[in-house]
Amino acid sequence: MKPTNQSRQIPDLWVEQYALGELPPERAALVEATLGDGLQARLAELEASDRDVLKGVPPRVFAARVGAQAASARGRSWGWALAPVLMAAVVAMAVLPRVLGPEGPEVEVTRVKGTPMLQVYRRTGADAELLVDGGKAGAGDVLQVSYTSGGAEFGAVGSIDGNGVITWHLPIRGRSAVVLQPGSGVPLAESYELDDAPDHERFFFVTSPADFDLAEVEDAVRSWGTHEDLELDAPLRATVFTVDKGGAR
Amino acid sequence: MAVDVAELYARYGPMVQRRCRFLLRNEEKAMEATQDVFVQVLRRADELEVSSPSSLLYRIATNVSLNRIRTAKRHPEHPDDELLTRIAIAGSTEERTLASALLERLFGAEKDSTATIAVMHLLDGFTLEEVAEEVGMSVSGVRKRLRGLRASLHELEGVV
Repeated sequence: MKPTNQSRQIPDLWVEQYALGELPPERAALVEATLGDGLQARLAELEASDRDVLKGVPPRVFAARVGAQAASARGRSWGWALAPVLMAAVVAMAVLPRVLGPEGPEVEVTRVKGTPMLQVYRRTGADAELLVDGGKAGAGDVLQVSYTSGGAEFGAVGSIDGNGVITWHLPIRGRSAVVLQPGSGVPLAESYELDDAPDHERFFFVTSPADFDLAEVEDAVRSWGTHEDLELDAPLRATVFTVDKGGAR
Repeated sequence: MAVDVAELYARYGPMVQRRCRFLLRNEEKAMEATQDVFVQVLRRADELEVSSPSSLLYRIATNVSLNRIRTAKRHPEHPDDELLTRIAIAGSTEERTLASALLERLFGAEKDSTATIAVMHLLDGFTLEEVAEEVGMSVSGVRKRLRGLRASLHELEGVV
């Protein structure tokens, strides 16, 4: 294929859309005619670039970052107005639901099966640091938790601290699991400030194809001990994430 | 519409990142801008009305990048940068904010930013007719917007 039309500049967007298969046929023909043999080279460059970008920041990591940034921005917008109330609550609660926002509206979606995941971020000024499982955080650190439902329809997120105190983060009120939002890195509506309870904060994300009562989980959580896995009766399934409070700050 | 950020990024993220990198000339800033683009999409997900959003994401990326250029008011490091900076700054005086204007367009309201329109025409190579089609305006409307920049942009003289 030789170039037959060098009279105009082909916008990069059109080449991108050609590669995505989203360019209308008429325009695709113009791109082919104008770029000729050079088109394949451009497409190969895009393919290589795609790989580099996605290897540099994989989709799940990117989604978690976006979720945390969105939640962080929401927190900044609410924080000042709620500060007096929140300061009073800090004293009273082991793990503080800190930034208020509405739960997402119900939507009709196609659920994609996958692995349920928890992502935990530690707020650092205006940014957020993605913690690894077993990562360190200390008293006063504000954590933002995001989940990936992995196709599960119902779920709940809680944590147990080194004193054995269980706190439910999703739902904050009520004693039943909630309908999970689909997608990756869905941030919880509230972030959490760690208190000075010792050793660790162990988060657990319980998922199920059906609704369940939180009481079904709490006995297992109390007897969790130092085991790595949180064992639950089917069809309940637990994903866990431990934050080490061994002096991170 | 529910947005799966991971899926959307896997398909369109590299395109968005390349667009931001082209305008910002900086890998790190481009990645930050890419994240900003998807944060904006996520925060307005319930209002997103499109099924094939490559054009829209591309224009959000343009807008976010121009916004960063305008905010930074950095010294141009590339021949095209000076024009970009001036477009970004001049465009900001035309409308309330670049980002909100494009988002309004994206999520079903009114118009794209004048700066984005100018970049599409002057740097990307879209004809006036193609710009009009992309942003859903009349050709005369696009011309009018670009004329609004003419007083601020010497580079526009004789081009529009």
